[in-house]
Amino acid sequence: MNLLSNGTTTDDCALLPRDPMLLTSFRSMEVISGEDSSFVIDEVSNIIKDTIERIIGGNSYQHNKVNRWTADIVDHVLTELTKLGKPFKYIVQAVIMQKNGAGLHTASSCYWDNTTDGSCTVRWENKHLYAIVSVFGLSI
Amino acid sequence: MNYSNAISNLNFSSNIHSKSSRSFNTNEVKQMLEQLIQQIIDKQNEYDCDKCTQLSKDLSQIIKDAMKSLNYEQYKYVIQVVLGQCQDDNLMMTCRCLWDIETDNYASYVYSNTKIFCAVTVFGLFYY
Repeated sequence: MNLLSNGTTTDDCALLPRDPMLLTSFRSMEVISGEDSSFVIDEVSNIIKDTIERIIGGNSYQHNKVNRWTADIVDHVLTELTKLGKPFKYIVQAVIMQKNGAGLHTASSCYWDNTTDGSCTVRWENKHLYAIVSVFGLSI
Repeated sequence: MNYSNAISNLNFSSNIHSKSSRSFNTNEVKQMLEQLIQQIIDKQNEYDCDKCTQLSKDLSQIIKDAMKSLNYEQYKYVIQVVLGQCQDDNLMMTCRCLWDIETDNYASYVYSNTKIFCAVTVFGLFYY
């Protein structure tokens, strides 16, 4: 969803062209027995940080590019997560905000199984913008 | 702050469904979010950094409790609340999910007044 400075919102649910790799890696994912099927925060956090560095790097907030950036970040993080091959459903959310002095708070609450499910949130910034990426992993 | 009266003031129109597994209904959840969020955000007269920190956490807990009261069987929920000051800024929020299209869904609602904006997303995922 886009929240513009004049107060209007647009909610685009149009799907970007599907990444065929996402579909094939999900189909080949098999249910693995207990040992390797937990949500590892460090692993996920590294994936997120590398993705943001690659896609945004030192760029300033550009209104015409931000749409593509957020979509690329979530797509890339999701692809990397599916490559881990764990029996999880994933939700990846990215927020990019200009650095103009306004305050922002994010909070999340989850109704799930604490022993198997987990989340990871990475707050990243450069001189011109903030990026906050959250990943939630829920076991099947 | 006690928001339990906000939850008890909610009116649901679709309680005729029995407890047998009905799937996540976006409209129902969105209606619930509209009622709750407008009540709570309108009580804030201005953006206050400390109050809004607590408010965002409280809001996510309240919405989680309201989702539990909707009685969807076998569903896990993730509720994300983004609260910010209305200044001359732009913000872009995107999400992508890897899930089962037949059973899982999400509902989102954005509300803003002159001081504060609030974007809430609720994801419902079926647990087999």
